[in-house]
Amino acid sequence: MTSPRMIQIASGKGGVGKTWLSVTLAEALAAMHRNVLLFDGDLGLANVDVQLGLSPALDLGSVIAGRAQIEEAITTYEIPSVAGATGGVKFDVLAGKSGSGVLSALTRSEIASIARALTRLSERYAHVVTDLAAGLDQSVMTLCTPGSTTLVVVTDEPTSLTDAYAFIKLMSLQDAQADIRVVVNFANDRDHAWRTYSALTNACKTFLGINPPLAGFIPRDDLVRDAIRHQSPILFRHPQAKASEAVRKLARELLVPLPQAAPQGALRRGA
Amino acid sequence: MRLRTFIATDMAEAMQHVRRELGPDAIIVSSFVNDAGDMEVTAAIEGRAQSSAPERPASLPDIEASLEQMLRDRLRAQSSPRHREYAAEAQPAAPVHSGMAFDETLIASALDAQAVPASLRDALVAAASALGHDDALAALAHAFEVRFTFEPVPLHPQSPVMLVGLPGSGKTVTMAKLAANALIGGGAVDLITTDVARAGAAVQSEAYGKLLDTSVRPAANLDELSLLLDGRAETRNAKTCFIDTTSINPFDRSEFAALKRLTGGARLAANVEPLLVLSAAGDALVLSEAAAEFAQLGVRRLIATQLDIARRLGAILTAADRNGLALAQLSVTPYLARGLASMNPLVCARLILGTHEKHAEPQTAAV
Repeated sequence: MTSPRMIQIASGKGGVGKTWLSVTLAEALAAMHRNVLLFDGDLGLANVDVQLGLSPALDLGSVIAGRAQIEEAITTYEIPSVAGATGGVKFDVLAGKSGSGVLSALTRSEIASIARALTRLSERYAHVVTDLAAGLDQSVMTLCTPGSTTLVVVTDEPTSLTDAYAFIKLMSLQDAQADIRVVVNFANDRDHAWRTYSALTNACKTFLGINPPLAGFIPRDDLVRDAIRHQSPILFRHPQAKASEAVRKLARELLVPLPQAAPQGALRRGA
Repeated sequence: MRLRTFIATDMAEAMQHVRRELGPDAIIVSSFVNDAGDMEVTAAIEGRAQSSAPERPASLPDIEASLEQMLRDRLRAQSSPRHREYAAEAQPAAPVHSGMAFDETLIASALDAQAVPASLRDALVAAASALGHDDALAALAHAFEVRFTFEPVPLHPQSPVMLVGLPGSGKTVTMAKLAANALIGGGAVDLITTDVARAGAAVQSEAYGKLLDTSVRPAANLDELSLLLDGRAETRNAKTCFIDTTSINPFDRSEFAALKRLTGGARLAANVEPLLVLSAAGDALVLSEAAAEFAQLGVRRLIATQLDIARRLGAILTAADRNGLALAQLSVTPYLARGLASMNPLVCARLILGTHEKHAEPQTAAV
């Protein structure tokens, strides 16, 4: 398996740090000199642009309204370097329509056409990172394009675990070959992360016959909140933060092919 | 999946809690000794709380009986001052309880009885199962919410609505029903028909117009239609406008091209929305292919008719699903007044399971 081109960040439940991970993963991949597009797929409540402090003149709403081609709605976001205002890495952003809710009324065929347009766009990029909406409704599942790598963000809260499980179940039913991986957020430590991951994957193994691997975990880190509040990329504002290092590690490992020989029972259906 | 965490002094006690609360099929997904020294066990069970005797209907539902029940419900609701708002009808109902326990086999059988294709049936059953409802009706309604879009035509749509469809699908009577709803809702209507050449069409339109106490203005072609639409704009005519069209065979290129010119021109002239009227009494594959053609005209939602003949929703659901069309309304009675019901996830689930949420009977206090 080569490094994933289409990367979707999902969660089932809202409020688990999905958008933050999407933004930060895009930054981390861009910092590794990868050509990245960050797409705000949370059509009902887009806020990638808010986290980045962007005010794009054109966005997905402009495309849907017929005022722009999808390529024209792409904004380049340049991360300033730690040392100064220039020389930073950059990545492209296709923003939603922040706070308007206008995109939540799209029909499934319109969403499917967005997914197709995104697939076409992906040919120009090494990676397209999509921030999917929370929930399991059709707009989320329609944006899940076949062949993508889906990172399911989960925390130790029971509601997060059950919603992440429901998402994985629907995703695997929609695409039996789906590449689904788990990211544990707000982990107190490695053991805590592993317990959370194991709880989710034990259920997946028993009930679904699949064993999604752990892509990584993000430690609980107050500096994340600080970066979000300042609408500033954490990799720039707090490059040494534990969460920054965790996302960089996640990005590095995403580029490494998954081992072919899976553990016993892994990725096996119908067990 | 149900997930419960139990805290006990030791594993044995925790397991007792697990078995008692979740039953013997529960699995342990996590166990560890927490900071307080207690055993913390998280257990999961797929599906619902155990039910020793799932409540099954005696037989699969009779869709006609469901339509009658739906009409009775609508009339009852409309007789209540609290429920007169048409808009409220378009909203999915609050969480429901039908008393029918969730059972995958039951839902699959009910979908089979509706001639829902296996792939769509499996997807709906999977979605119903994934969401953890105990109640079959609530689970299936939620699955419909996940899989389909529901966009009922509002009582007074801002832009004119143009009804398109196959021959015999019931476009003209559907226009009359939409107009009747608008009139009952306190608005005025402006009815136009481009179906002027067909034998008997004028008489039919005139008869419906008479019943609604309004005239139906003819437009023989796009130019005449554009003039009428321009006239509406110039006079700031705010009446709710519905436009009936000549039925076409969408696989006949010349007929399709003619309708494409008409819908395209009408959209440019007054942002007219083409709306598909689709009879449920047809083959799922044929209806899907036809709906795909109509979708090319910019159709994004459909009204289902003739369910009383088809007695099955399978073909309509297939056509909507394969073409990404939203479900708007369905015809519940041949009568014009209140002849259309808004579709929503609960309506679909009720039609398929033949069940209804339990209403609390009004209580009268004795004095």
